[in-house]
Amino acid sequence: MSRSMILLALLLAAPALGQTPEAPAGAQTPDAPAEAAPEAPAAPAPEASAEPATEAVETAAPARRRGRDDTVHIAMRWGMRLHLDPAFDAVADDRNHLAIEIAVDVRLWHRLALGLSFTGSGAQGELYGHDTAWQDNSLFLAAVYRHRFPGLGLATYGRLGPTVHWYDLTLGGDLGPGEQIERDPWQFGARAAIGLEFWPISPDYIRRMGAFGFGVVLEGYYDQAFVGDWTDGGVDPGPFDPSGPGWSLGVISRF
Amino acid sequence: MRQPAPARSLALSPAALSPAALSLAALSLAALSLTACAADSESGAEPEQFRGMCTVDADCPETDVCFDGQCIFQGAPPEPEPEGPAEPADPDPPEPEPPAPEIEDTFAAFGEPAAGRRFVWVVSPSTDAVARIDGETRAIGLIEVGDEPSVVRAVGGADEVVVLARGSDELFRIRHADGVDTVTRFAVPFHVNALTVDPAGARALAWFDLAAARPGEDASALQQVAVLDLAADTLETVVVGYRPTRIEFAPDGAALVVTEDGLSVIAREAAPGPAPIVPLAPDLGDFGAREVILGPDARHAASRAEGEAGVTIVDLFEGVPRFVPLGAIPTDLDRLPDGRMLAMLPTADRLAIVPFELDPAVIDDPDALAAAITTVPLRGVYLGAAAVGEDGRRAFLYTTTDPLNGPGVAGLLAPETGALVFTPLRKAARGAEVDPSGRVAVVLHGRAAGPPPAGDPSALVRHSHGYSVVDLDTAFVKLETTPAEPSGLVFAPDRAAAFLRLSSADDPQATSRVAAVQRIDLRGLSVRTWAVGSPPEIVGVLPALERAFVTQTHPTGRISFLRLDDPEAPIETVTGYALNGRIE
Amino acid sequence: MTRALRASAALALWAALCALACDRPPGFDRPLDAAEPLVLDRHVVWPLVGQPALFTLDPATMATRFDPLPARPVLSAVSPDRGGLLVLDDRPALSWFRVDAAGPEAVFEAELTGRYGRIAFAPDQRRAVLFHGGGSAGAVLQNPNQVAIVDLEAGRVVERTLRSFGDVPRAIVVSAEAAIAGSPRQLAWALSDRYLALFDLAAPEAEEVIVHLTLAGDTRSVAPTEVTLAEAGDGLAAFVRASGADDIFALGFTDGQPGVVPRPYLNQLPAGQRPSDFAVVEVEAGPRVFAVEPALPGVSVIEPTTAGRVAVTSDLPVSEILPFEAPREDGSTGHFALLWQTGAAGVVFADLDALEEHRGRALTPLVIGGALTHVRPIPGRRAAVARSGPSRVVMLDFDARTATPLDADSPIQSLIVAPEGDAIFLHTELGSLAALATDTLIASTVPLTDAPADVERLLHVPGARRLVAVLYDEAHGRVVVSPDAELSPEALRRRDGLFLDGVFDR
Repeated sequence: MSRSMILLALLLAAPALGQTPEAPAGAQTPDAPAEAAPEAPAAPAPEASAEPATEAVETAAPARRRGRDDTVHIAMRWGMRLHLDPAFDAVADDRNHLAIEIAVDVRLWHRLALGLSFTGSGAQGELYGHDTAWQDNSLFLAAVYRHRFPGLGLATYGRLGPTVHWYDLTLGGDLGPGEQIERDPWQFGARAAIGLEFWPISPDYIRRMGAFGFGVVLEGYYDQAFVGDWTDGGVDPGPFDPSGPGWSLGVISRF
Repeated sequence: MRQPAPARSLALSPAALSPAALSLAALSLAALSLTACAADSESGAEPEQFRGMCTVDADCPETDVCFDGQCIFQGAPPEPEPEGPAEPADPDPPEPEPPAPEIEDTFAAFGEPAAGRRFVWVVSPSTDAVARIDGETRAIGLIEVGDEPSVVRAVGGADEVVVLARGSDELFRIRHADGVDTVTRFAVPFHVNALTVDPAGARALAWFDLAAARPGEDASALQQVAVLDLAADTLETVVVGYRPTRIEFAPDGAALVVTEDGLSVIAREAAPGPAPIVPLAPDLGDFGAREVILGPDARHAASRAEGEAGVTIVDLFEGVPRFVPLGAIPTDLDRLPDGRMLAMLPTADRLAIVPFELDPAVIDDPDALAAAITTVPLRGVYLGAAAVGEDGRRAFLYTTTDPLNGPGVAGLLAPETGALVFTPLRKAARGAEVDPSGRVAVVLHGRAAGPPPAGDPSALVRHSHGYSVVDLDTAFVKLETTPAEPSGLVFAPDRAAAFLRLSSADDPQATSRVAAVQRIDLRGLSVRTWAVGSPPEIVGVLPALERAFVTQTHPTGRISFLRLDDPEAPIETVTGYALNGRIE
Repeated sequence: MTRALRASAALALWAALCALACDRPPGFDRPLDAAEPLVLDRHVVWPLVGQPALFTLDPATMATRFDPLPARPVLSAVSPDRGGLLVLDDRPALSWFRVDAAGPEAVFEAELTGRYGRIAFAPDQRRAVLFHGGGSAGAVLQNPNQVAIVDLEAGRVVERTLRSFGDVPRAIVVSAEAAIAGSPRQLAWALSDRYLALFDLAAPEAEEVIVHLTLAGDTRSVAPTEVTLAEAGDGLAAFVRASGADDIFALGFTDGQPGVVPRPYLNQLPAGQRPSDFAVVEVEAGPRVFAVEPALPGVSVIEPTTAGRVAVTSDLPVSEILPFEAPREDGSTGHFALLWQTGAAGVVFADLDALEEHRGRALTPLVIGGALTHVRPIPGRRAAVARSGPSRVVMLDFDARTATPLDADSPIQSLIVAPEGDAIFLHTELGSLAALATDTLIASTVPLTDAPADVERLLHVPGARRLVAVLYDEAHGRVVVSPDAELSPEALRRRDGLFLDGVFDR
């Protein structure tokens, strides 16, 4: 329950917490033309400037259309991750735990983009009276397909690709050499995700997409792990498949 | 005065029960009654039985008076006056000094457990039960009886016993047959503490023995005897004379109760009323202690008392005590099986052998009396006590009046021929027993008090307990010193062996612990000792099983068995038979 | 509307997935609470009281097994052949397991009405007796005289209350099945202060026979401590030694009917003063009871039929007897015994056949430097191992009458004799494990742990030919497993968190 409250608070505070990354080169601040417009009719000399102002605007438009092909999305999402394998009951009270993801994807061609994200999740619990801990850090290289609905300010996307996980499982109180389950440094996996983006903050909300935007994203995903047997230094707790679905909600920005 | 051991009942050899003996008894009875008739021809009475009904004094014996239809004993008629002063030729000493009393210390077995054919029956007062020990398998069974069973007596030789429960005044008859115990209970209406069973197994008598009374015990039944008829299973109370001290049985089954008033006779089919009393003393008011012996056929009784220079003989059927003067105060009376008695007259330096049956005319006639009595001079040796074998072949003469720490002299007498020989004893005697075959006498010695003085080897003998075994044929004496006082002597009935026990528990001043049983070979006179685990209490013999047994003082009961014929065989012990009653 | 549909579909999926995640098995929330390990023939079993479950380790393969139990185990015991496990749990009920190569398999369960604290097995494992044995079992009102006679083969339990005469059964001894008093019986003896209760496991409903060892008013404390069944005279007899008694009670059985407990008859054999140990041995001359009397000091030879006793004094203090057989020079088998006392300076060898005749000449003392403790016979050999001092082990050879000392580098914590008698295992205070071959006296050693104080106990699992050292553990079980011959560091297998093996499958 407390986790849900935290999640709700995070969602409400998302806009405040959202960071505007540095504008890449070539993008102009949207405020500049608005500020320039009131100044033009005040000066007499600007009689000649009125004409170049519209020309400047007109010349700027074809430059923006080119920037639309370089769309970059940066997202930060928080959500719950579920483990389907009942073996996870040995690790924590609840098979759901929090997962936080930071994702970047760069549009390559039309609707396809290449994404890279980092997910961190963890859980804590108690086993036989002693504390346990689970950490799962992964990198996800994804092919992203995005479809926009300009009129609605929505976009849907799907991501698919391989993951690399670093797992860390600790059972028991004493950190003896056998109680820290050792694993190979990294394990492969795969993830598929479907998401929905809602872009309320964009100057081209109605007319066109492609400008900077700030929105909310909701995603559902399924993480599949390809783990072999858990090898150990002293303990063989049995097979555990950390695969499972999850959902996350967060903020996304577009450049 | 030596009390005969109850286990060896008097004079009931099997011959007594044969028809020939019965007819002989009947004939002698008839003869006596005729004699009595002849003697009392003046009085005109012909008493055949005891005192009976009368109408005048003449109907009663001369010692009796007819009192309201009943003859009552009043004492002997006064002696006729002597004719003039005594002649100096009369060898009787004028005033014999009263001899020192001979206190014969009995060390025969007393109160032993009852030995049946195959079983030994032992009372276990602490568990209110009687233990039955199988002499063959040594298996033990416990039978619950009343409070504090104190005496158990075997009935005949069968596996049947009568038990007296002193605490609850009950008699129990226990029969063991086919592995089953049958118990019959009889309540005695008064308090009793002694039990006597007749050898024929017909009756058991329970009575109160004042000599065995404990302080504070109920002593009200001093003149009552409970008679249990074992065949009819009935118990009745019979009143007897004052203070019974011993009960003997006549061959016809009558019980003869020795009391201070005389001899109470409880006949086989007793008439209602008190048992008739046969007076033993010539005087009515004579309540002193008397030594009483019964004749072999229980037809006569003789008694002596201190201060009487003779014996008093009574024919039980006649009931008239007659004093036979012997010229000196006898110090001991013993029965000889041939119808005579042996009277020791040490102050007159002689002994007299007196017939039980003496015609009153003979008694009155000194010459006839002297002819009827056999006198054997003691030739200067002071011998005041005697022990006679059952067959009467030999009598062992000794004295107990010497100081305890000096050697003494004993005599061997052949009563038939009157032959007398002497043999020295290393230690003074305190008592003697002759074995049933009459070949050997076992003499108990005393000892000087205190530790022996150093440097004197003979003092060691003086200060030791011990006993001697005397071969009565050859006069050979073997002294056996013992570490503790010997007691509980018992003879094996069918072989030449005797057993006695040595226990330091009897002596509060004993310095070392002694618990042993000794077997005396009465042929070779050798002695073998076995140590037992606890102080021995009673030694007995189980003849049917060829074993002797020793009961010992042990909280849960302990009894050991010895083989009679094989002294080398190990002693077998059973312990804890009282605990067997608690296996539930 | 599509938005709402999608949102509700996501929520529904989330709810469904949440429902799947709701039931964590409750065992994970309870502590393990492992009880003392039980050594079976090829396995070591820990009852996990907190779970409740049985955790089985096969040291040969290091395979583990986790078997849940129906209720919290209170008492567990291993049968004498180490092939069965009897578990009493909290309901109260009992479960009987037979342990095969795979692990414990439940054979049957039975409900009980009483709570028991001790288990006595019959030597043939076919029956067992549960009794209270003193101590509190946690019930509101307890009947300490209640016993449960369990037929392990038939799966039947008969619960009864023995008649009590002021005390409760302190111990129960079960003898082997034998023909007594005409029919086959298996007698069990419940020992209490001042009395014994005798009952028949083959006829569990029959009323017991009580044998009192004291008279009714006796307030002494006579507590039977040892019961031996032996042939004496005609048939089997039981010999009972009691503290506080100077006698050995011989109980013979004459007759009896099948289905009824036979009533014995009692004979007290005098055994000197307070015998502390005894043995019944059939020597050349017949069956004899050899009772050791520390007060003498010496041994009494008692013939049970005649109760004849021969007391033989020994030079060294003795209070225990260990009989054995050995061949004589002429090839016949002789009966001997080792007499000893804890803390004495030596042991005494006794020739039992000759003891009654030759007395003191049949005793041979052997002085060993130092005070003697823990003499234990080595099975299958005429030898014994003793401890003399904290770091010395003495090997006693009965044939040669020798005592060979072996010194360890540090105090010896525990010593185990292999059931075959071919090896002795011990571990020392400095954390080393040693396996000593009894025939050659060659030892192989291996250091067990870096922290020597860690080793809590050493177990030997004979069927798996392994030694298991259980280490002190606050979390989840720590063991070090080693083969029991040719110890080497490479062959050590260490598991920390042993009870977490396979935790993901529970």
